[in-house]
Amino acid sequence: MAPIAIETIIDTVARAEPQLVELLLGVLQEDS
Amino acid sequence: MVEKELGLSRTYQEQVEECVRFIGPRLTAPPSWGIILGTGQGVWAARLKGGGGLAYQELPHFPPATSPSHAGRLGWGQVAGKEVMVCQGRFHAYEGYSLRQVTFPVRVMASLGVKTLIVTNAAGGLNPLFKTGDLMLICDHINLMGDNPLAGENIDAWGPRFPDLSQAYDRRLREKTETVARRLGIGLRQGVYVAVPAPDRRRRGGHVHGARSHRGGSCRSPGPGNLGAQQSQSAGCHGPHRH
Repeated sequence: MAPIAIETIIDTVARAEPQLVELLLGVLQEDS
Repeated sequence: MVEKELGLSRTYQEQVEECVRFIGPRLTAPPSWGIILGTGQGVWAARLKGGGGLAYQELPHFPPATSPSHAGRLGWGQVAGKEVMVCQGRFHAYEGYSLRQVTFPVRVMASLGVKTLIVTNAAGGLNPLFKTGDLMLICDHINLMGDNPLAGENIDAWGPRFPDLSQAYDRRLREKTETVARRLGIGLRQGVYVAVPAPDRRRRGGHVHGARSHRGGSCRSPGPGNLGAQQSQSAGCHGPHRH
């Protein structure tokens, strides 16, 4: 198992971040 | 014991209070929500409306964020009608910080009024069913760091000596997150975070499979109960990464 470069991690996070932001926004909006 | 003899706990509390006195007058309203962003996550800063922010190096006693892709900035403002404070970048034990330093921003945010804390991070997936890029909602954590941010002389004003961590990740908030994810069609895993001290970017993880864990990483301090003593809520939400 090879070490994983930080750039790979950042790229992966960047691809998934829109969904994470959408999810957190939804939680904030629904909280009363 | 050494910490107690040197009075460092009192100094730590004073450092937190000094930072709070510095930030407080700059806020337009006290924050009720706190968000700590992990590796590569910085979009939230653009979402903040009508607030402000400061670089960590401008804040009294804030350690500098040295990890790659951690901006090192504390921002505040409104998001979705809520007063939110956002840490862009966190501190890690692998940077050489003590867990009290790592959790310094949490203490500051709690003292400024934050009652609900959301912590995000990228972590390796240990569950073979998880895929790279999956989002995971943290239900609990297992601390394998050999240290604890709650260790040391207890500061009673912040909470009891033995806070209840059985619900460290607020059930109501987790259920709400699940509901929102279903409504938005966002796939959301759930699992247990295993905290390890080193900056491991490779880990076979078999030794923690036995503990029924799902994610392993060194990105978060295993002490969300820091806020729990103040009747606050916390919900971890893991960013995607598998190794």
